[in-house]
Amino acid sequence: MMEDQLGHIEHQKVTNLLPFIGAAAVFLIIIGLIFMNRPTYKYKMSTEEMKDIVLKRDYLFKTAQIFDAIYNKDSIYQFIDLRSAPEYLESHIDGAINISLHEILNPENKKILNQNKKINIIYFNDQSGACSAWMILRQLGYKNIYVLQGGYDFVKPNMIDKYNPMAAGSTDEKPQYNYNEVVNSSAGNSQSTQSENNDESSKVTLKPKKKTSGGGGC
Amino acid sequence: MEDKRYIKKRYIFINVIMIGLTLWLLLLPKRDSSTELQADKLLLEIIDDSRFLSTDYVANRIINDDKYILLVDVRSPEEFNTFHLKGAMNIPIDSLLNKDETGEYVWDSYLNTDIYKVIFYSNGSVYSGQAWMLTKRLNFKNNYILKGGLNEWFSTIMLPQKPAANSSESDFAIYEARKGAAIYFGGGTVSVENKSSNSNSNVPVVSKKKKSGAGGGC
Repeated sequence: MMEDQLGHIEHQKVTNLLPFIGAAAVFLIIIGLIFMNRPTYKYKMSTEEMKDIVLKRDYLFKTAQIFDAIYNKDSIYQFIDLRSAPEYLESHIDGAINISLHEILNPENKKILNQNKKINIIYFNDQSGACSAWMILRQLGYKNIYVLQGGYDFVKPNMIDKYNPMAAGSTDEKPQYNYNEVVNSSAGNSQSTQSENNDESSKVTLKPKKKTSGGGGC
Repeated sequence: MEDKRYIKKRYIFINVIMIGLTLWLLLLPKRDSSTELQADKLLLEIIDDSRFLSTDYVANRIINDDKYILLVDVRSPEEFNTFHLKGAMNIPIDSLLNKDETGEYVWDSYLNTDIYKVIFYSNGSVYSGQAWMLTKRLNFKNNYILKGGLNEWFSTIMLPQKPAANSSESDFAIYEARKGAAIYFGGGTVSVENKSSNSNSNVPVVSKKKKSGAGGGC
């Protein structure tokens, strides 16, 4: 009888502790959730949605509009230079702000890059680099960002230093050669009678060299 | 009797909290798309140029008949049919992310493998860069971009410029390799789609090239 009672008391001691153990476990889980490694940057759209935006191809700021954006002081356009600081210091589009590519996700740059008042035109050395940055920002839900057509390496010599109207519409993706024609002429062999192919026929005589270069390739 | 009821109440209380937390934890993974590459990691990927492969490298790989590169043409089927690089497959950007009935990406077995080095190309490097950005966010492995695209392919490989007389030896070596490559690619692709008169004369050329290509591949 005595032992039974003692056992009962022991049992009660343990059961009295259980709620505290439970509370401690709940506390630990909550602490864990607070310090959980949460993604700092959240995509606002799926890759499929981004693909559709990309295919619309309305994200380009045409080079023809560039002078309006530079010289019209009331312009709603704001250039963002994504190149490195030394490159920016050497030369940049008038009025451009320098935010190097690796800094675009810094929180202090968010209020510049994601805003409603101005339309941001980002540029990099090439259009491809700026386009990649644009894709990241766009997927994070940033608004009002356009990509400068051609990139700075194109705009600087063709638009700013010396205006070249012929180049105005050109893009990176425009084929600059008639591919098949070039391939034809490269394949042009000694029987060819066209004058253009005279240069190329000399290449044909170099075939043995080609073999050696092929061998060198491994 | 009193005690037992008291304990039961506390147990129920803990159980409810635990079950609640468990359900919450179960729901968390839905919101967290951890298989995707987060924006900051994606930015790190585009800061350097490791995603680009040079035209010289790719030409060398094709000539040496590398089975482990996969050229992916992201242009439209019309452009692809007019001209494409040897051995390339056509995946326009709009079908890049297509899924099958089970929700798997259709191209996953080509674009996301340890085996193939996938090289996206377009006319320039903007569209191929976009394709790369889309698959990179999905964490596809071994994806690259042909630097400068077909335009650079043609200006360097198909129409190599002779280096100035005072250029270094390595410049001349590159030039010789490119000239050889121009002949290789000139013969290889043309015979498929061009005028019969040309392709007739190309036939022996093609066979020679194949031999030399095999020699180069050891």
